[in-house]
Amino acid sequence: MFFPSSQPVLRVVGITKRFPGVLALDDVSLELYPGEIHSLLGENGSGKSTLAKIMAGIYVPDRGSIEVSGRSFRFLDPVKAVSYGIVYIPQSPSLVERLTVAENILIALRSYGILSSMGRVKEAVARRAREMGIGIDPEAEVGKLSYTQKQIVELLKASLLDAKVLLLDEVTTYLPRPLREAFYGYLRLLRSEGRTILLITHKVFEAIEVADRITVMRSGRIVGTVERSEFDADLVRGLMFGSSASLNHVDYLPEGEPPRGPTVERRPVILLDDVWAVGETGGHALRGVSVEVNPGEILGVVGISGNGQRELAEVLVGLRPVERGRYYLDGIDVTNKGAKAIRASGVGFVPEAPLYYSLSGDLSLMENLALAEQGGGPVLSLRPLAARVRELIEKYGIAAASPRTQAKVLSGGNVMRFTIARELESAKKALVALNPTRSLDERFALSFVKALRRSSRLSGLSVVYISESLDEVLRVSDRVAVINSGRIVGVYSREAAERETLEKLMVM
Amino acid sequence: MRELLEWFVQILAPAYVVYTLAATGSAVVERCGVLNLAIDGLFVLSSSLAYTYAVLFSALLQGGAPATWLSLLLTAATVALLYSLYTTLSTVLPVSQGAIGLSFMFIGYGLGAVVGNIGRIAFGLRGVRVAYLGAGHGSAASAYLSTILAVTAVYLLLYKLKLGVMIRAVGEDPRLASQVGVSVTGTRLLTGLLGGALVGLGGALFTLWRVGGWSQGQGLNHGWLAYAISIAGWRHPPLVALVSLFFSTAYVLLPHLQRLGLPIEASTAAPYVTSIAIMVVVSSIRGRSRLLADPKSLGRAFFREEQV
Amino acid sequence: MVRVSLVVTKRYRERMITSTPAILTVSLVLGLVVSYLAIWATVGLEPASFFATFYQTLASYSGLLEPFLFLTLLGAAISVAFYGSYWNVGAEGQYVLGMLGAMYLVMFSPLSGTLLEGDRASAAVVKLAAVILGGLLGALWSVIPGFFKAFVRVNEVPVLLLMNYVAYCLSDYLTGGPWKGRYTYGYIRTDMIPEAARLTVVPGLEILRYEVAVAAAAVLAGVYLVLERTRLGLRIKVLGTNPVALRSLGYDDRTVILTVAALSGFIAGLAGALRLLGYDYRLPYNIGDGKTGFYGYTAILVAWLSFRDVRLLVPSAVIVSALNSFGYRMQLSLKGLLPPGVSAHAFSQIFIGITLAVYTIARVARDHSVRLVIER
Repeated sequence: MFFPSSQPVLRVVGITKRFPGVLALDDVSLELYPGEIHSLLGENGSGKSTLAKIMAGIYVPDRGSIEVSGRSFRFLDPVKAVSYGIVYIPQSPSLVERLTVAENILIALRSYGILSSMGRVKEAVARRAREMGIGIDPEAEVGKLSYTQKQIVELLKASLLDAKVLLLDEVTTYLPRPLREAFYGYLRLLRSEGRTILLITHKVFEAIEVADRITVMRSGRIVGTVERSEFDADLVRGLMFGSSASLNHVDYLPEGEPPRGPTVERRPVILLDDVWAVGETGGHALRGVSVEVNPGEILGVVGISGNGQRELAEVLVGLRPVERGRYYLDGIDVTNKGAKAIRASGVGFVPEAPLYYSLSGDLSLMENLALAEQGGGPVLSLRPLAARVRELIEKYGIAAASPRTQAKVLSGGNVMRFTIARELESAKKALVALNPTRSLDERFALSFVKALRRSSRLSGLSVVYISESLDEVLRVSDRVAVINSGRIVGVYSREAAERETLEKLMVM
Repeated sequence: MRELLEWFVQILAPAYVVYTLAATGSAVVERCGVLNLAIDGLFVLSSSLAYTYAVLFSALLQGGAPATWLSLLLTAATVALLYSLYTTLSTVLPVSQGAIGLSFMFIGYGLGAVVGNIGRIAFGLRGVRVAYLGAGHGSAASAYLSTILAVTAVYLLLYKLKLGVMIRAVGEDPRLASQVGVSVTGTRLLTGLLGGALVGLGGALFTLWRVGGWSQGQGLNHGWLAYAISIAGWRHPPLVALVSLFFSTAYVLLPHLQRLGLPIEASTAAPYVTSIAIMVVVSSIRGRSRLLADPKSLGRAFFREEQV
Repeated sequence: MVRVSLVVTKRYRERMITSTPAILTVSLVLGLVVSYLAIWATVGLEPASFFATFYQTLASYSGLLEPFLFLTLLGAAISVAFYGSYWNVGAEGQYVLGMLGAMYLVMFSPLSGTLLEGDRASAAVVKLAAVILGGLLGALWSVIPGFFKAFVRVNEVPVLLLMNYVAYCLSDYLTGGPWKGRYTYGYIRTDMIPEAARLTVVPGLEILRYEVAVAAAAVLAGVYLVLERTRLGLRIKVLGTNPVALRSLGYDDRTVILTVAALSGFIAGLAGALRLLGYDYRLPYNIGDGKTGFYGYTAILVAWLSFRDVRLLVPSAVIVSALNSFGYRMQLSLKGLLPPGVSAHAFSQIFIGITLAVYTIARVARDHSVRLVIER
């Protein structure tokens, strides 16, 4: 049994948060006590991250209150949250790329006044790194570190923060096993110092291994809290998936092989041959990528964020110049031919944030459709355009008032539907998808994935599906490629793809 | 040789000090991610404020020396406050930094004329000059020295103290900085105070040392010249101070080109053309180190709650 | 302890212009009040005489026609640029370049000779050529900063502003040098352009020129059609709202920047040429001394107040030209009060600045819900 030894250090009461089109949190209440490791367990999209961000003052809840140190707030802001000792650490490192390790840690340390010198913190960082047995240069520029090194910096930062409550949002997901063990050890050390740790994870075994209590979330609600003495993997899993467990099973999708013409010579639609490309920070983001995608095939590309996925997508749609190597579309060399030429030859793009990448929120759906059309005269013919948008609205079930509706008025899910509709209609040969389901709720994510499978089966569309979610990639792909540090480190057919093997390759 | 030295002391010193201070101020402001389109207006305002403060205090105190020093300080303080209003306003509301910057520019021009004219109508047109900063070698040398010291102080603050790290973090990625507990508004407010004080000092010295008097429209475009220097120095204080030496010399010499037979209009336009040219040349250099690169969030509206 | 915090959240709504008049009124009134205060602080003018002048301005609406037409043209020029997020604060310089182009063509080019032959058709051709050359020079003056923005990523605002002064210098150089007139009563300025090159005065409405009215209407219609009905306009609007999308859909944003800069500069240059041929007839020396009426700056306000809606350009130009004439009248009535060396232009600048700032902030309030939360 867990006996609360004192007052809760942090309590949220009746939190509700709605994003355009999604009810992310529905009347959620939770108490955290000093000196416990509390695991918040749930699937992707169950609302656990949103809850943590509200605790950290990053989001403002629509309803409910946050009680900390005996005081109640309608909402916090990040500065206030940190001043009450609530520290949030996200999955993707929240480090400023152009600052050094020590500088990044310094700005997060509230025990240092604004006039304290860099020298002091450098020493402190070096000392704590030695204590933890981590070899890292406090003066290294963060942008030049690898993902794993960045996560280690986050751990270092967390350990240096004088925090009462640490909100760890999936931070261990992609850490190599040995480091993860060391990290759990450190969490226990922090707990023994009386601190509270909220470990947000979707891994049942992890929660069971380290937590004192597990709270399970599903579709924006808390469905149960289990104490250490009652831990049981099946019980917890049951809570986590509920009745939708079967829906999320890998083999719910229609089976079937890509259509193969018996007599036609196979020629890949997309062929990258030893492609090198430079990334944002100047180094090579792609280091000799070779992939091929056949007609009607979905190639999943999985990897930890920041390993070249974005750059791969950008090369495929012609947004990023190729430094070395060749890119063939249907056997035609399109290396560095630019986005216009590649689009014109029938390649569509579904990016993670369409309002950032490929739509203009201030313009109407009609205008956004016209923008993607190839050819056509200099003058827009409004009537046919409106008719085509109406068609798409109907066919893809987009909730939009009219073709003249501004894109930004739509909910996140409907923006994505519109983008998918537009791209599926215009992509004749291939589609590149980059983290397409990130802004979608689970249900629409599934229906999108189904639509993709259908298109690839029926019309022979080739798809490159790039995602950080291994589950999703396994669900959608015919073949899975793992990208790591700008290289494709392994390609497996779906049948041969072992989760364990892929995870190892991702963090290698 | 002696003449050259003389020239350095007499002619270049005021220009160098003015442009270096204002350019360093602008560099600091832009390092925190706020596009400094307000600079020219607020420079004009500084130079007018300095005049009116100076004549006001010399009437009140019946003496020139303390009045000009007081004017210098008060101008810096006033402009620091206005700048912090500018940086704060363009942070707390997701407004277009360009529009707010241009508004401040126009208000600065207009208010500058009003403030200067008030001083001029109330106290008459008279010469104002910082008493100590006369023609002597000692004063010019110490002016150079204090400018270098000020730039060094700003450099240390920006790169060796936590506040400076906060400023650069906010200029790179305000959302991320706020997530780790840095107050974006607070940091930009402080940056506005610091950068504004420097621009204010530059504008004040323009009146109190370089010109020594006031007329309407004084200082117009000199803010842009300082802005160009801050860009040319990649917004890195010591580098700004270094390139400022070169460009202050150019700005001082170019208007004298007419002696070589060039039309007066060409020599008037020459500093503007030079400024444009250096901004273009310097900005076209790619692959700069992290300390010299453009702040990533420069000019972008900061909106805290954003779902993509 | 009481904590006050400002919470800004985005409001998603259909495009609406309903509250625009309210925002417009608030910003204009505040602009007027603050600039009155500035005048009062400088010369202690009574409110009564301030408002009397204001009333007189509104009463003589025919006098508004000329500033209205030019502010419409320049406002349209700047507005096009704003659509593409090209902050064309250089319309003033482009306007001057337009004057220079027209001046060159009717006075100093090989074509100028045909004007003396008295043939109306060929005079019309020369005038048209002058206007087009003015537009082209304006476009050139705008494309230079546009090029730097597109290819070197230099912010266009300082470059455009500095180039305004370079344009003044260029004009002064020509006026005081190669183009210096012979029949100027000792003034430094150019000679008047020949009668045949001047635009047509509308009988009964001496302030109006046919060509200017036609050009203003054509430019407004053209700008509207380009923005709302063509693919080019679409690209301009995407450039202004989401340049990343423009690139990812396969368009070269740099060409669009150059196009928008050229289009905007062309209209501004056109306005300058029309001004010279229709009203000024000659170039004065020290043109930067307010001899352009600073229309290129004032028109920023016209464009800004009609932001992202071409249809609002006309009402906004009406309002701004009324205020501009008011400012001009104030200047005249202040002339006796202001000591020498003091220009009343400062009050217009304060007006522009305050109105711009209030309008910008008020628009945020419209598109976002701004809640003031007070906690104990």
